[in-house]
Amino acid sequence: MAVTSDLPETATDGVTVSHQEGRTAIRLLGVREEALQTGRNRVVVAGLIFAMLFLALAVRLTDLTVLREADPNLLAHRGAVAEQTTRRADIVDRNGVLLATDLRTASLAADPKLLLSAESTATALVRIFPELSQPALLKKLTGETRFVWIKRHLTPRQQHAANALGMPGLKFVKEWHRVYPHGSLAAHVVGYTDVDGKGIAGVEKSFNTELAYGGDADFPLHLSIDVRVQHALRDELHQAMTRFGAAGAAGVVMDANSGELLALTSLPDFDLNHPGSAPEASRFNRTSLGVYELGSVFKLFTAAMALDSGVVDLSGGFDASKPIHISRFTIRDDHAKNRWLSVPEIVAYSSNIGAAKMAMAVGADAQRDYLDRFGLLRPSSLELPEIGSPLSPVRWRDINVMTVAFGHGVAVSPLQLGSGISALVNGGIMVPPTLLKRSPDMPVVGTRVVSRRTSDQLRRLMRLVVAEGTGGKADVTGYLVGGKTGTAEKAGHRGYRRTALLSSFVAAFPMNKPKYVVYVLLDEPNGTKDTFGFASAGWTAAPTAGRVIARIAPLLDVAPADATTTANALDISLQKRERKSETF
Amino acid sequence: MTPRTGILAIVLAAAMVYGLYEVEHAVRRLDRELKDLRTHVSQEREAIRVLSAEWSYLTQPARLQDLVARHSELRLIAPNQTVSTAALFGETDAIGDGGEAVADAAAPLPAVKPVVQGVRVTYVGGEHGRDQ
Repeated sequence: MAVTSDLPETATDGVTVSHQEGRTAIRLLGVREEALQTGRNRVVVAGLIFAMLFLALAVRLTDLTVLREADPNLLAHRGAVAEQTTRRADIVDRNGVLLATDLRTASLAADPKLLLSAESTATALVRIFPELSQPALLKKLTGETRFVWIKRHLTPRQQHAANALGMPGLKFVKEWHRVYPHGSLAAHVVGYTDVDGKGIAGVEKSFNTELAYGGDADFPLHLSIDVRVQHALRDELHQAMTRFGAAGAAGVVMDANSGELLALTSLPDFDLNHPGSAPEASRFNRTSLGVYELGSVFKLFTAAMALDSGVVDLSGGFDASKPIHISRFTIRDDHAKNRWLSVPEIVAYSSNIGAAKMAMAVGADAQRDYLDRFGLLRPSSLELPEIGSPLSPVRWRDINVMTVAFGHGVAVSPLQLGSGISALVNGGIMVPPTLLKRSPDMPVVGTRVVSRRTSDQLRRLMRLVVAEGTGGKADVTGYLVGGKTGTAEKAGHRGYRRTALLSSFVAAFPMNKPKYVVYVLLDEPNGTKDTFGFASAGWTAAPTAGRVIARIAPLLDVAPADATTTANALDISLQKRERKSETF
Repeated sequence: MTPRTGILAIVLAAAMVYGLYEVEHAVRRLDRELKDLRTHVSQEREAIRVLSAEWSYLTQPARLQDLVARHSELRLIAPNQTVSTAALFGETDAIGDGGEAVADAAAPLPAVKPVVQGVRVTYVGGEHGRDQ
């Protein structure tokens, strides 16, 4: 048999056996051969299967490692995303200066069941945190719950001291803590959060959802505020408050064309890091929540509506020779000229009689309509929860028309006044004020409230007030300041109080192409020796506004203009009938 | 199977086992490294947050103003200290709607008018090189 030659070694033994034992051996060899053949086949099949499996594995491995080499950067980022989202987003100013941020701090908690002795723990803890009271702490530590807060947001030193106690049952919980690096600088704008990180005032409240945990913490909220401008305004208001012994102050700096607020200040203010310890009066936002009868600054609105509706033009005027007696009131002028006054004179000398007559010429309905268009009869749309509702007469009688003409009888917030004046100087477009930074390519949406021609005339009138009228102390060489003073007597229990004044000044600059509107308000200023005892706006608020402008104009890239050439373009005469020189 | 292929298979298997071990070890090491780096990155991020908060705190305008007042002679910029670069190099600068050229006007500009000579700007009382 030829079988022997290709048999494996084991089989060769069998063949040897077969030669010795004849037929049986051959049969045996046949059976053996068959079994071997089956076994070999099975091995081959199993081998093939395994080979295919291994081949598949090899192919997959090559595919994963050689062909599809993953980007290590991508791999490194996988799984690292989740950690950031528990934080509240930052708030920054228009230049990216940090106003509010979340820092990680340790908070101390306890599990009363694990404490060895509640008394000794309480005593030891009070030594580290003197502000905690021992009995209250003891009550907490003997309670039934398994978790009590002892102190939130420890300083590193306190954490170290508490850790050094080595007491069982005390534990540290890492928490995010809201920190306001600028303290009180923009307190009323930024607002603050409660201890659990929920916004309860200011922008922190109005944008709570966007800022809150779970939102995109990597994108900060950009405010329109500029901390440098905010500081200049706050600093000057603070100085003025001190100098004139005022009870409070308010101020806004607004971009007249885009409606962005660059600064909003209400004094006295408070440190955002400790809002709880501030008195209620400090937390009150005088600028957006407080509404006041702001006085003569309203004459600009009166002049605007008179010029826009065409009842007078700049050369027209009214007889202001005698006080007006209406019902039980008498309207008289503080800077009385006792003669006919042109429209520029009425504004420049701040004549109540002239303004009242001008408003009567406009009429009650038109006056109301214009004031509404200037945004003075409805709450402002600014993104703050603290927005005051303006007060206006229910029935618009003649006496109301006359008093509203010079800013009495309608109470508005300083913010509303600033944004109304912006509309008068920016070409006549009312732009809603905003605390959010606008991107330069975003079109500004506004509504036309007065014609461009009226706006041009108002710019000249405002410049005239500073150049020749009651607002002279607001002038800053080179920046072509225009504005209007407003001295209002505060309403008391019985009529107006002559000694309690609200002195304010609204300014815009540069008047040849207004970019910014500044409004400052001093609450109950007192005259000083320097002001010869006067506490009126021309002596207190006007110089403050001027100083604010002198400080912020270089920061805001306002190029100083040459006084003579550009001023000529703005110049209008007072249109006096008499050739008598006036002095102030 | 000849003894030679058997030995070869064993050697190959051993080599592969060793290779696999090496790879797995390297992967574990990289994994540990990644974890460390992540911890490090998040620590650094926190440190950056603290530092930027501190920077913002230290550069409060009120604080800077106080420091400047105490340690330097710097004062507020006056309008006549500002001049546009265009005006500096003899071009006129139109301002405002009126479009009046004001660069040569006397009042708010620096009292000394710069003279442009080639690439050097000469002031009375000193020379300032200009970068090309």
